[in-house]
Amino acid sequence: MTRPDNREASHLRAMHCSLGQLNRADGSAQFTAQNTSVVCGVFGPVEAKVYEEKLDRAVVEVKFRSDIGSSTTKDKWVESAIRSTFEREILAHQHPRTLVQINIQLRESDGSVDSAAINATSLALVDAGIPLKSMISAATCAVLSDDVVVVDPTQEEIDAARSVHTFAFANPVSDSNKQGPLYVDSRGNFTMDEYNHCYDLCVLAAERVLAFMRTAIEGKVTKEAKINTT
Amino acid sequence: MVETGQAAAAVAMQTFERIHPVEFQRRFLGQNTRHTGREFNQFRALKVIKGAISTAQGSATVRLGNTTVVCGIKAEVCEPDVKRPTAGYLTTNVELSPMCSARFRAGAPSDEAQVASEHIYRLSMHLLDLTSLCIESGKAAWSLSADIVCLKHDGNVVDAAVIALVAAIEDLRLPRAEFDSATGVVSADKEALGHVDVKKRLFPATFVLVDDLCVVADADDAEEQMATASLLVVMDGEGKLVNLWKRGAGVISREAVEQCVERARERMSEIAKVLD
Amino acid sequence: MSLNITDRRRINGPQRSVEPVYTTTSPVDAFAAGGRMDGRALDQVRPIFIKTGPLDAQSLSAAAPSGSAYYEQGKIRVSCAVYGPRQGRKSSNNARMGTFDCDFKYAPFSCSWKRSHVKTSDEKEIALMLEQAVAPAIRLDAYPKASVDAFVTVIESDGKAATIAAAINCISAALADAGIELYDSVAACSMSLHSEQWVSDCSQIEENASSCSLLVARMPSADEVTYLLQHGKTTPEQTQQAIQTCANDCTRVYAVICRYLQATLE
Repeated sequence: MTRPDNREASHLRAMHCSLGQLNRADGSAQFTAQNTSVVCGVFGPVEAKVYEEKLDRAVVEVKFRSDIGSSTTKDKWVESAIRSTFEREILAHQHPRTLVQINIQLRESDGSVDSAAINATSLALVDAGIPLKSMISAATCAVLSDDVVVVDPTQEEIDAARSVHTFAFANPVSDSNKQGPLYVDSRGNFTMDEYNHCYDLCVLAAERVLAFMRTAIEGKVTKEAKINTT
Repeated sequence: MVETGQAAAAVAMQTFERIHPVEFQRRFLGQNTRHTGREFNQFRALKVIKGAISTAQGSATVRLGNTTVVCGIKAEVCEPDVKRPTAGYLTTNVELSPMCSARFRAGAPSDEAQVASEHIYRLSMHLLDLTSLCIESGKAAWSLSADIVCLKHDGNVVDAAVIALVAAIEDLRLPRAEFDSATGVVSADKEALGHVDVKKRLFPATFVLVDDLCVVADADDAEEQMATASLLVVMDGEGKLVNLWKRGAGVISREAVEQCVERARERMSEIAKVLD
Repeated sequence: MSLNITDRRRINGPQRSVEPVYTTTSPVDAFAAGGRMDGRALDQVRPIFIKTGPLDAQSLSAAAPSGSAYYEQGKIRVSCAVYGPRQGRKSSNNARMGTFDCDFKYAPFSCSWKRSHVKTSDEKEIALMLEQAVAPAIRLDAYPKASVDAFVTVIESDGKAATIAAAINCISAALADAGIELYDSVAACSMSLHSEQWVSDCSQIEENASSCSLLVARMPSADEVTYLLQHGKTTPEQTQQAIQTCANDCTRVYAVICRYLQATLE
């Protein structure tokens, strides 16, 4: 079986990420996997509004904007997914009574949007220097109607799929794998065996995504170090 | 505690619960029990009343312990989407008003309500074959709006809402409708009512990780306030999974997830018994 | 015809949806058979069912209401939760008196047509009516700077005036359940005028067939009327007669509520 873009079933799409694109934000990142592209800007820690501040920790606020149309309940759903994933991974008690605002803008969508958004958020938080317990990476895979499992599906593949699975893991992925995933969204029609198979594939994929994100950060840090020394 | 009889002990316990709810729960969890005396994997009593509301075409009231939701379905006719000329509509909205809990404000739906609406809407795709709502291809179809009103929020509203939706859809009776191509009017015969075929029943089961300690089934409000992660398992009638949704940063191990799925499988027949 | 406004905080259906035209319509004249459709006498109120505390928490949760009630009158089903006395809003801070606020909402499926999710003007109007009808019974001077809030949801309605009356009775029961200090419980009843005859507690079909409807809310023990509402035209004598009959009905409804509340104490 060949995929529409001639990838192998377990291959991710070509990734690209760039950090610090937005100069107004404290940290920002763009995460692109071919036709799926997400920009994330992080402000924080900034002053929280009086009515929402928490005395012992920072408040994490997530805003997700879709590529087309005004915001809908779908965006709220993604926001809640991302907030629940990152809320405790951010060391919020180091910045009490402040706000960490995460703004995510979907630029192009072609499947696996949720995991791209999580990856972009992770990068932007690192770029903003927000203290994190670990870096989070996410991956999506889909079970097609002929029982073939494909990693990082495109929208076309998702529409034809029997079930779609998105997982997010804390770093290092293999340790986190033993404990359990941070975020799971599996939907469609599937059995527990299929779920477990997708889980294993996503662990591997998330590991690769994480390695890639790490290189991107290292690249930026070394570049900055050079500027500072000269 | 000073030995001044049971009444004084009860007052002391109430004071403890109110002043330090988290520690109160921990004392129970530390003893491998829950503050309501339930087992960790025990769900609360489920009660379903179908079709109590005469103004709705289909309705159901669901009580899950103290949590009470009412689902009513209103049927109207509309022009189908150009892209799907034979499909009708099913929209689901969850209403969490200040009546059910002081945490909600009057007015626009809260984030929690929006997320619940969206998630149940996504699940509802499995429930009905939307083409069965077609009256005349490209001209007219039924538009069902299912509204799930929460009367009492005592945890696990999503489970109650999904069960209420399934029961209301099963209760739904649509009049036989005909499309008049000359006038463009849909006429319906109230005397000839028919059920809509349910493609798949959905059986939800929610598990919550309380205080990073233990995974409990069907958490009540007090337990939900301490939850660090939640896991929703939705099964269809044949024991296949429809949705597995884990949120929150707490760690639910892979084995625990599998145990939850097993429990959800048992729960499936428990719910089915109540629904029939 | 309802033109659905796209609400980005809710799941939206099609842009436009209408009720189908029903070929077999229910009998238009509610009183055609000489009596009422459900066989009641003209001055008979539908059977009442009350339950207080269905929404109260089992455990001590700060989020649970302090009192609640569920009220049925025939097909009408109303649910009410009362919070308070709790800290009032800053803007309405009155140093000497507490405030009573009411929120009224029809569930989208509670009427014969589909209601909007967004609060409509008639719901706001009814909320104000409920506030004005019930507030005189509450000892607001006992709760300075505090507020008492009632939230009412109609699960099913059958007759507009009767639904409002049911909401008032429901709030009264919920207030008592919450332990709010009251001078007396407010009981309400409605009636409609049909061919020169007053008919108590009308259903929607009966109300549609009538020319005038009247609502009385009253504190029977104190013998004071707290709210009076009339739509349609009558002679002053007819209105006077109706107020008297309605007041008697209120006393009967009041007796039912009181008997129930007493039973809960025992």
